[in-house]
Amino acid sequence: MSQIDTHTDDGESGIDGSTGYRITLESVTKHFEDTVAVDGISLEVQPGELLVLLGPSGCGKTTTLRMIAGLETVTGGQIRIGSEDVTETLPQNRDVSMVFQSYALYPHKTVRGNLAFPLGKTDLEGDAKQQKIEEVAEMLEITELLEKDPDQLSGGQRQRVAVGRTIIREPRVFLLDEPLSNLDAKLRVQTRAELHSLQRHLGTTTVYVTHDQEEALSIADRVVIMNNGEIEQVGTPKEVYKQPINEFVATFLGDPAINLIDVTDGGLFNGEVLMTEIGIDAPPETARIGVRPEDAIVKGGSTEGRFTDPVTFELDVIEPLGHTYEATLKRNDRLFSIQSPNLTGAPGDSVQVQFDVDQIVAFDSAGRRL
Amino acid sequence: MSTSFRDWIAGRSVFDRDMTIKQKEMLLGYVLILPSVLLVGASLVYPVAYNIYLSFTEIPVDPTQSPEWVGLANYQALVSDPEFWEAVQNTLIFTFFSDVGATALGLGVALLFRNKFRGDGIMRGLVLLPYIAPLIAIAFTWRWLLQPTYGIVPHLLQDVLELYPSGTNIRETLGMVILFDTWRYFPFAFLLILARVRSIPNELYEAAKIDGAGRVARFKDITLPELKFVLAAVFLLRWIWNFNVFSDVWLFVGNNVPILGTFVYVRGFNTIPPNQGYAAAVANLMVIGLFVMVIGYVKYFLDW
Amino acid sequence: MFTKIITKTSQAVSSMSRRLRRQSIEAPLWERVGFFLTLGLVGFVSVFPFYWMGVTSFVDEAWLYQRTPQLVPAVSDLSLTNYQTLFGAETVPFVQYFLNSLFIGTVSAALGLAFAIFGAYSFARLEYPGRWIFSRGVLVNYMFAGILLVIPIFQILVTLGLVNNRLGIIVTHFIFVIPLGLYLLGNYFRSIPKEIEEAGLMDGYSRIEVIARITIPMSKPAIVATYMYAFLLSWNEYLYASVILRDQGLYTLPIGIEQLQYAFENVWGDVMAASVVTTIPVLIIFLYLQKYLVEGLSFGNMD
Repeated sequence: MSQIDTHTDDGESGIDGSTGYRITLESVTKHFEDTVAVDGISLEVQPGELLVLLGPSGCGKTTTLRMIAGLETVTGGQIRIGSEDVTETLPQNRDVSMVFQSYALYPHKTVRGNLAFPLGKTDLEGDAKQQKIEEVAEMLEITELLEKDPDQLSGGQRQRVAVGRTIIREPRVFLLDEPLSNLDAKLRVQTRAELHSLQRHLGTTTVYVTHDQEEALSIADRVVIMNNGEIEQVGTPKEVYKQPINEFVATFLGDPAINLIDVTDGGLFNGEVLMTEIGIDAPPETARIGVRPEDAIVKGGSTEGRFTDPVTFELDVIEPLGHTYEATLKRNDRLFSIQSPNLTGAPGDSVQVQFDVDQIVAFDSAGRRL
Repeated sequence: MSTSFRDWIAGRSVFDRDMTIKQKEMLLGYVLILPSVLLVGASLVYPVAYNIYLSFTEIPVDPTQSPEWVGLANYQALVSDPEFWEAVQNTLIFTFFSDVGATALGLGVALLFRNKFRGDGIMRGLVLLPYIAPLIAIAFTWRWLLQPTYGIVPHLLQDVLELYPSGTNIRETLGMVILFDTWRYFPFAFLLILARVRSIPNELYEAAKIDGAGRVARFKDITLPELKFVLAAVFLLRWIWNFNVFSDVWLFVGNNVPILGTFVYVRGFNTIPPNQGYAAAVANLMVIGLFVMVIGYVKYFLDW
Repeated sequence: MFTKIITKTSQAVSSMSRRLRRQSIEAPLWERVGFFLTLGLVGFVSVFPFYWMGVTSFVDEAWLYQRTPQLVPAVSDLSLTNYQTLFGAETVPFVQYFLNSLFIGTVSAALGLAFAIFGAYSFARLEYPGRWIFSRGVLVNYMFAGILLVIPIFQILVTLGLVNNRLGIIVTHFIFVIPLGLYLLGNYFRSIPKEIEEAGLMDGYSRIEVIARITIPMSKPAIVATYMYAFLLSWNEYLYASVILRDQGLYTLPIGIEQLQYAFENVWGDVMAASVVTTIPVLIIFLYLQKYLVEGLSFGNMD
């Protein structure tokens, strides 16, 4: 069996000056029987970057990750790590490592055994090997768990061991498949931050799959939004959130979802409110505009920035969230969500709402952003 | 890809780096299973073919001489061999009744175990005993239990209960062989049926009870339809094994109740001189008969 | 005082009627009695022959062959003479039979598993055209019971010079247990989460290394159970042993016991003692592995 050729070729200087490997996908396609899981995607992961693949289930994000790992064969296209074409390289020879959703710890080995296993394929021996294990265990604060079996660990502890097993060999690329989805909400947020700083610290190129947009937007250098086996948009979290390329991306991101308001002859709400009248400057072919709930304020609140003239809604449901209120408003039986700290009133009351002009996105009839 | 595939077929550079992942996995798959396939093939496919050949020959006792071709002589002799027809008849009766017996008894006991009760693990273990124990031990135990002069069972039935006249040997009868086989294999049916019985949701029975369905109706309308498939499968498997039975009958009653299995053995190994070509012809007919029955069963009864 | 008694009585009556009502929801009394009687009968029918085997092996001849047989021996009737005869090695080399069976079972089960582990892995996990043939083939194997192939296999063994030879019976048994191993281990391997093996690949190990260092160690209980089951098949096998082995020194237990029974008249005490000795290892294995063996039992017997 050929040893993994480690880090000999072409590590590059990536973001933050870290050295990492570029991953290139060129028109990569994956067919399962007659279904198309991934439909000719091209993508470049920058050296040292943390790239998140985000999308609804069945969008092809996990298949893409598994193709980079070599666990799924490629029907068409090419995958490169650095300058090396790995499309037909067996997974064990790609020098990448992966955290699985189920963690996939070896049940018959202790935590130490799990961490030691990947080192069996490196030059580390004896003391150096043990030292490396201790080092990684310390980094992940699992030193006192080293002699335990996986079934004695909590979910969070297993997750740490899985991460430890992934980083210990110092591979060219980390792949993470929904690494936090088995943790409870509080632990998820904490672990997410730790993973983020760990990746920063190591500077290893990382591809991270999740269906949780909050997780994606908080951890990613760049986000890839996938749908139906295709890439919808690639960009920084801010870009994909603020400048969605189409209605799918706009509605997929954000909770509560963006408000899409139909435009007829330049007017909103069946033409009752003319856009030009309230101060929205949208291209003539606009079919819908999108307003995020937090970009709409109740009249009388802070008006830093440019806002439209008020539009009248009827208050339908109001929900206090602690630091703010979330409310559903109604106009002509169309619902409109809003998040605003100075909302008052009871259902049935009328509310005056202003939209942040600079944050409004306009879509054409095909759903593309104008 | 096509180049390396051709290379691989040609045996050149088997570990060619140009092979795709799929081809490598395929190659590994074949390499791993090949030894098993060769061995099992060697012990199945080749003997089946060889047996067909042997059935047209006369096999000399001296192993240095090769079999002599006799054409259809063995088959012709079979047609007019009354012992063969007796064995056919016994085999069919035996196969049918011990299959029905084991399946029905297995079903009954499985229904008894439907709800868990205290100690059901131990009871299950005890019920499985006849099936687990070595055949040689239980065949001889039954022989001893039914031994005409000193056996405890004939003593009870004959001397104490006076069910039949003394001097009758109930051991070497087709009925007793069927009973023995039923006793030994009902745990097999029990085991397969029990798993299915326990997966029938209790709500079905409760709903039926509320609708006023009686015990018989519940069995007919709920239990049987739910168990249809497993019963059919058990019946088929038992049919195959009963039809091919040898050791059970041979060790229990020897050649006193001739069936096809013992007929093959006796003609092939237990007669002087043995007539293995003849025995091979019987085995061949058994294979054909079994295939016809199994295919017929699957086609017409299971409607697959 | 009087009211107190009335209250107490009415409480008692209502709690009793409550209990009765609950009983009637569960099952009527006659039904439960019937249930346990039937269960007792099933248990008795299953166990009685084993009881009789044990009793016969522990009494002397005088008790066995008395005019009016008894169901339960007195303590004074118990004796170990049958076992002494068996292990005394004066009349029959019973210990030799036992060791032969042990040796043949141990070796052929090990050989069979060595092949079956990899074959089972192949068709449980790897993908290639024609894979279904192998998984169906295991089932076709069902139909060809030993008796159907005994003539050609015997002739092949004659040609190979493997008749009256331990190697001959080992080869036969070990090939016969392969389908069982393929079936049982294939099922087990399929139940191992794929991701654990993929983690091994990601850690830099090849498929073969993953099988050796992850899959097999993880499957230890299933492999042990399959091994034991294969061992039992060999331990119990009669037909091929009887045609292949000729010298008394090579006999396995089934033929040895058969020989014992035919060679002497009315040696039922000895035969039953031999049966007990043959059965005990089987029961021990079964007790230890009951959980795992149930699946194997569903696969069926060798002949």
